[in-house]
Amino acid sequence: MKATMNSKQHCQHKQTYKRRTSFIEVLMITSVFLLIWQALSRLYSPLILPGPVLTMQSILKILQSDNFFNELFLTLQRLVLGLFAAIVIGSIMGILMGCNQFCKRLFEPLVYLVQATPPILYITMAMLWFGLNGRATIFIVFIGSAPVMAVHIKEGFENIDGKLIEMGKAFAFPKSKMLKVIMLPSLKAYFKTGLITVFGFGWKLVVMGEVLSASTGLGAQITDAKMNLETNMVFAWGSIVVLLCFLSQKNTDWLFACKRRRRRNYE
Amino acid sequence: MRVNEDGEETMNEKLLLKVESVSKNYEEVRVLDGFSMEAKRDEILCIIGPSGCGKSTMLNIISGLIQPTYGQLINKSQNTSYVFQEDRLIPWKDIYQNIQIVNDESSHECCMELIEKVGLKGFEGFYPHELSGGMRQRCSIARAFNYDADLLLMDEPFKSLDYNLRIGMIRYLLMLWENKNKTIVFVTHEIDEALLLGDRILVLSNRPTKVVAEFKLQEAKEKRKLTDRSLGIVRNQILELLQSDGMIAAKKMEKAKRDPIYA
Repeated sequence: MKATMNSKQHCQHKQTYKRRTSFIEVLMITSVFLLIWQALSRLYSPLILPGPVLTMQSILKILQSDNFFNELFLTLQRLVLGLFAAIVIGSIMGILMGCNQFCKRLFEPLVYLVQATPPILYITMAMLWFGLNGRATIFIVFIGSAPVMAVHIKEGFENIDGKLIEMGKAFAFPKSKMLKVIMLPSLKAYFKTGLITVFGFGWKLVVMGEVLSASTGLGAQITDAKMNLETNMVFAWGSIVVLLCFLSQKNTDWLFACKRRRRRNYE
Repeated sequence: MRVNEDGEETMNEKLLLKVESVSKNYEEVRVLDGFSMEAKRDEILCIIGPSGCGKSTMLNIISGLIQPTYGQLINKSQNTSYVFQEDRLIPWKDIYQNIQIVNDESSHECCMELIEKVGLKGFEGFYPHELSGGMRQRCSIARAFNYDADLLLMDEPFKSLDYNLRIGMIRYLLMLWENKNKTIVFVTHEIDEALLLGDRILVLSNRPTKVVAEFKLQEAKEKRKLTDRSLGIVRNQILELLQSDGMIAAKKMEKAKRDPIYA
């Protein structure tokens, strides 16, 4: 009984230690940032640096316009398609590299090569291969994110606790059990960080791809705004993209944290 | 000494494990060099030796986790269970699941009984990181007993625990062992653990590892003849063997054997 109490207290202590940044702190940081922005925007013309108020107005204008959700939907579609392929194929590559030495020797240089190539090269090639429609963007998202995922999963395999594996062997776990009970749960943390990194990459790549190679989507709107010298619109679209990227990363974090272990009762 | 056929037969039946001149090299380092030993059915064999003499390596060879470079291993056991130096519990499984996981056929009652026996009742739903070192090690012992095996290898399982806890753990271990037909090979470098647990104690020398002395306590324990004094003498002898160079001490032992102090 005493031990139960202690453990509960321990948990509470942990929770207070790991508490989230409070609302007031967020407010303070944001207001300081906005103040500096406002001050700087006074020094330059809106063409160079639009102030926060103007940007806010532009964002509202965008949100009210009809085509916003169409553009957002197009971008999301590209992002989801590219990321889905990247996560699936990247994970499979990672698992193969982790499980099999031959696969590792075969794929590892390839994965690092793909990762080392600058995305701008892929964009150039993709524009030639797929033309100036959305498909080039999907390809860029995929080729930019898949190796990141693969490397994360491979790292996860390399960091599985060898002592646990040895324990499994000592108790004659069959391979499937070893994978299910020891290996895959060990990979979870790596999968999560991989996912968060890939989401960040995905958003950047999808917008970049659209800016350079598409006439639709959020990125294309930025290009349009730039063409028309509407810096405030560039800022507004940019803010929207940043916010969406932030939210998707934060949500992944939340998704994993949400599944907190609940204590079972075996009586 | 001659053994008639009958005698040999019973000897063979009782024999569970035989290690015959096993050697193991790790690259250039020879950890084991022509090491031999035996274990009979349903006994607790304690192996005591200085650190680094290859005790863990030997257990790993017996359990089949590593292969010997030379030598032969006869293991007549159906299955081998293992208690490691560290608890090696799965961090994302709770205590109950950790015990249940090694044996898919084990019933709920069986698991609960084991948990109760090692004094972890009420903690089934806790995760390893929420428990103390001693509790975790008890869980790992319960896990080893849940695995259906007739040979149990224990590699300094109480190394990280304090003295009082060790004595308590040995009690739990003996309680678990009583009703089950299991041979335990218990490796340690603590003399007291070996004396409390062992039916037979093997003392090993430094590398190259050899058995320098064997103490048989089973008979004396059964007849309750093992007095504090005789235990103390055995203890001192083991201590002397471990402290001095094993082989020299073994020669001294030969002389001492003329005056049997135990049993």
